[in-house]
Amino acid sequence: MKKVLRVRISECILAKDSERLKSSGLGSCIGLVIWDPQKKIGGMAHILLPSSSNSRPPKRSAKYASSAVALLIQELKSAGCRPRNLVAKIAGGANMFPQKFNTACGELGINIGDRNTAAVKQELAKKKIRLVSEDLGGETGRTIEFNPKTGELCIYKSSGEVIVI
Amino acid sequence: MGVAAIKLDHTQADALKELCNIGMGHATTALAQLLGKTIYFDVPKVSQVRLSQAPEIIGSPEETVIGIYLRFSGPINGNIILIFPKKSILLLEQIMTRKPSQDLAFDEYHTSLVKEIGNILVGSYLSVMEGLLKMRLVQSVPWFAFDLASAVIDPILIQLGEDSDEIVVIEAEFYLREGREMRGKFYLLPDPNSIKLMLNAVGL
Repeated sequence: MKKVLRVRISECILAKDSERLKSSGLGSCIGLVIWDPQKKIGGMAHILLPSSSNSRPPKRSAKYASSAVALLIQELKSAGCRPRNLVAKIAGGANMFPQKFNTACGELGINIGDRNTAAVKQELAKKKIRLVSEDLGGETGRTIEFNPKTGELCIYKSSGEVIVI
Repeated sequence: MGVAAIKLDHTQADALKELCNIGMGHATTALAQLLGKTIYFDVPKVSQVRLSQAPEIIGSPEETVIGIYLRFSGPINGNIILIFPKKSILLLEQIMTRKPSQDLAFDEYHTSLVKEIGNILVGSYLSVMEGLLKMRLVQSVPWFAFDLASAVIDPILIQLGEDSDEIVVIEAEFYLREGREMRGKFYLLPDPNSIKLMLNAVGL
């Protein structure tokens, strides 16, 4: 029986065996999966923002790309995984309101999805985690489900398209 | 920037509810005039939730909805989002054009129609706020999205999340008298540091 663990905004959860990790309705947010193909343990983080404007960012939160990558790696290490075996997959970072943004008070985060994507990639490179697959950008929301046994990340797009990366 | 800058008490929550109540009264009247139909709305709700819980408050996360988003600024800043089930938009269109509408993909025509409805609702809501709070507010153009409810509110949570882990959601559902077949939800999410200013403006 598979057990689905939901990963909400700024959460980070590990899974193994028949467990699945799921993040629903990723828009500009990023779903980050880091997986150990040998131990078959994986973790998912639901990232909201690139980095904290606060000088003292909260620990143990996957809200920011900057802290989420480190947090996932640490949790996987505690579960007995070796950092050099780890690989990453990412999905999300869409632009939900692609219409023109320049208005009297439209300082809405321009392409926040792209900024999130760049921040996650930068952080992964910094920690030397290999990014093996991705499904990013566009203008549609995504629901993602990860299977730690096989390493498959299944992406259900709001357009009806389903892909596995 | 302080996390959870304010913890709303009963009186404060009631004041925000009442502001919303008056705003909704005007907004639904404007929509009723446009449609030539009576529009009702439910008693507004005010909740203070963690960011991670917001997608569950704003509809079921995996339901595909139509979202209209506007930002307002002035002495206070915030976000308004209108969420409609797709069927409701088709009904709205039917009423406005007096033609049966088919289940169409959302093209330019549909999006501008929906945006205009957003403009009318939000414009009348904010003009009442201006009077009650005695301040000038400027609204942005409406943005349109047709997607999963939680994906639609992502950009707003990102804005609010910069400063806080908790948000205040002021919401009300409005609907056509006959059987609630046409219904929508009106959400006001003030920027975290604007909540105090809103309350100050009404003497709290």
